[in-house]
Amino acid sequence: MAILQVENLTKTYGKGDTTVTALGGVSFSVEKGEFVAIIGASGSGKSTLMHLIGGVDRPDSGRVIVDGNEIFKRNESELAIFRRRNIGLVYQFYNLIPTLTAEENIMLPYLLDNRHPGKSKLKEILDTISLSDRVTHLPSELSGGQQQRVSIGRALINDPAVILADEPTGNLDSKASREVMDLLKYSNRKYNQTLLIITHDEKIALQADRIITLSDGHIVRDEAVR
Amino acid sequence: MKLTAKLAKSQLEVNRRRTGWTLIGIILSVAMLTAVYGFALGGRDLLTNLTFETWEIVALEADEYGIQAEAELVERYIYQSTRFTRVFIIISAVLSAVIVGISVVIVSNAFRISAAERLRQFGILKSVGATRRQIRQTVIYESIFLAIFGIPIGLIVGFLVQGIGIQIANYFLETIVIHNTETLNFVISWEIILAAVVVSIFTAILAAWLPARKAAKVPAIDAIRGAGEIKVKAKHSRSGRVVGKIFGFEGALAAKSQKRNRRSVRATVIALTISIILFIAAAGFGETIDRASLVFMGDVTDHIVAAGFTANWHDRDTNLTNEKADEITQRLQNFGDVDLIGVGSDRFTYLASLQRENLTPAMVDFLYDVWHTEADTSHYILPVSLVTTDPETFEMLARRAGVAEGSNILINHITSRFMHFDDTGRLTETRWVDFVPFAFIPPTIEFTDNEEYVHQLDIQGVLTRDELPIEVWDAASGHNGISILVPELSTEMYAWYATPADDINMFVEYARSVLHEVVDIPVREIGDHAPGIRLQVINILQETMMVTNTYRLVMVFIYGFVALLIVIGLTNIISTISTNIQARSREFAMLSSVGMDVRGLHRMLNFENIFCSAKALIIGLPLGVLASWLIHETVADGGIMFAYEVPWMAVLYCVIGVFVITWLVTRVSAGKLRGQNIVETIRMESGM
Repeated sequence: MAILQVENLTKTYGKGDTTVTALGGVSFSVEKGEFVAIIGASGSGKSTLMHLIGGVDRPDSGRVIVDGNEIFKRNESELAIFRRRNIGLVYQFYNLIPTLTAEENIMLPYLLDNRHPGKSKLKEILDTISLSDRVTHLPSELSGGQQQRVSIGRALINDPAVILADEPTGNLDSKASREVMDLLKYSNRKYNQTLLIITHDEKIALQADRIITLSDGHIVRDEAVR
Repeated sequence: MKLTAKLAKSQLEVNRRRTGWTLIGIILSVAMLTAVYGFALGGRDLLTNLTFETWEIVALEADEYGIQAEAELVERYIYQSTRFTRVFIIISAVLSAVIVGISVVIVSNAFRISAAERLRQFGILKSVGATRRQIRQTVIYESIFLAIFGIPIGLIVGFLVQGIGIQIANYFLETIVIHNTETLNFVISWEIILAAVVVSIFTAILAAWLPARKAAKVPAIDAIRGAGEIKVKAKHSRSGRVVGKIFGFEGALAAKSQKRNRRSVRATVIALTISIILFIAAAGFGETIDRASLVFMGDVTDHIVAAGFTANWHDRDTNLTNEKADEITQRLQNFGDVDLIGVGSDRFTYLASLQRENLTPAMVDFLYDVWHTEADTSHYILPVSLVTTDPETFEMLARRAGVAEGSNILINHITSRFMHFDDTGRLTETRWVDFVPFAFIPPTIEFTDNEEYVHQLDIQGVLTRDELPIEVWDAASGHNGISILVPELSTEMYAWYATPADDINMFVEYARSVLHEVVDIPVREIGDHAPGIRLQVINILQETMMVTNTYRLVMVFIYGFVALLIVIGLTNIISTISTNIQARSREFAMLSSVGMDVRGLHRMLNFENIFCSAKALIIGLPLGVLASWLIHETVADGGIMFAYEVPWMAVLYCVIGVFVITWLVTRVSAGKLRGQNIVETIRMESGM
């Protein structure tokens, strides 16, 4: 059974003459453990698609079903709780809370639930992202690559149904990019983690199992890499 | 600690200066609430005790004269004290509402900016699954933390303020209530603390709730994109052209950043506006009270001591005979080296019949307006007041009128305050009338007394108002009738005004003993208004001081109250301006990296201040003037007593004050930026 189903998703911005169709009816589904890259030129609707799947924004029409749950049937606070327990988001600009330590940023989805992930779980994540020695640092005291690893840690901690990464290497140098991609692929293999990456970098897309190409809000190609 | 609480705590730590100023604002508002409740309780107790003393005196008199039963007095006492409680509850409630209202606006200003800074953070939190409730909590926790520190400190400061206020009040009270043993006491009770704490918590939470709700509503996606923070529209960037032509490049930059930092500018403008309104309103109130007190006091005499006799008004046999009056005059003069005038009068007991042909048109109008006499009658009936003076003064006045001693002299002048009430008893119109009543002086005036005896008085001379000493005029005027100066009279009121050469207190004691010996009843204390024959000796200097001190006391409290509110506003102005400048350190670094010097930077900031201050003045001044007008309307009975005047001096001070304050705060905050390294600042801020 598919872990993620996207059905006929549409989204337009603006009104009247300035209407921009960001998504014009997009449908696809992703199996558990699949590693999918979504590519397309800027303005093709990649980020919109990711925000909709992540439940951060709402579509004009269409459905997103994550792990059997139709997410837009939920009200706002139900959706927020669903996000913190089922979705992992990784952004280009990391989006860490500047006043929380690396460790606290990683635990954020748990802290919002007033829970603690448990020591072993936390250690496992810290080992995975190899940041055990910097847990008490603030984001401003970390390099870009380290910050991105923290944000991947935050995405992994709640064993999400799907991780959504929006240009995760877009702000990093090539070494840090490689590390981040290795980490994402590692989590995909080790935890059988479903992974959606948005990128415009051909090399990164080629590391995925499957590439979906978007153009002007439509899927123009959907093919397996190997 | 809960995550939301932790986030709030770290936000407070990020901008320590703003946190400090906001905390001071909260402390001050708690302190004001505490002090107001303390004063209210103390004031109630003081007034109740004072009334109790007065009623005790009344009760003694009641025993003597049997006018009122004691049970009724006790009932009235209880009625009075519950009335005072109610009055002070209402006063406290009104003042609390003012304090809470202003504090909420001011403090929520600070939270609004704090929340706006974190919109992106709220977006991130939302995207990883924070609910609206949790976002709201992070803002509200900020307020709760500040309240936890602010309320206890505020209570202490409040009791301190109460203590200082009581010292001031008692200093004035000593002179206001002579022979007073009652003082305004320091009150510290659990009721005050409870009320202050409850109202303060309500204030703090309400102040945070409004911006918290707004922050929580911003969609996660907008917040992540940063749309909520800076939205530069093309329109905004273009409008600087005109400004640029007038004020130069720095002016144009200032105008643009004003538009871009709308939120923080608005916060500063709100705080400034409130301070302006308060200042103008308080100044207007002071002026109104000042002028109202003048209207009520009036001038009766230039002398220092007044000794007075008042008969039992419903018993003509208690009038002071001419012989006794002259005896008192004589004995007072025996004190030696004393400037003295004695004036006695017998009012309201005589009704004169006047022929229309002798009267001026002004008099006819007056009779119609005030006494409602028919317009077409040929005879008018109206009260006559007979006035006499000490022999020496009478001799002088007779000479002035060109008549022999022992003549009767008509005072051909009426000054009266005409008042009109509508059916509900509301005062709708009042004006002063001032005119000459007689066109032709009748040789004889015929009048009847209250026992229906008809008297005939030959008129030998005439004097007008300007020819009379002020004390004589005071006795002759104010009863809406005509007055005749006679050489001898048995009077229902007699007053001796005196200025002894040196020892005032000794003269007062001397006059007391003279009055007591001649009239043979005890001389009463001041403030004793019980019915019956009355003898009193007043040190007018002291009396005047009492009135001015009452006025000063009221003003000290009002100005103190408003000053504290303005300080609350100032805390906010300081925190918003300095936060705004700190937040823009990167912009300043960028400007200096492309070659703007410190002078240029200051010029730009000065322009920003001028725009911001002007905005606040444009909104605040008219509202302040409106507030002072409303106060005038309430105090001065619909503006009938005296016309409204715009408090121009206060307006001027306001304009100067606003510019100086914004300039000073900006200069201090900008001075802190100078040490920063340009490259460091740019890199640091963009490093995220």
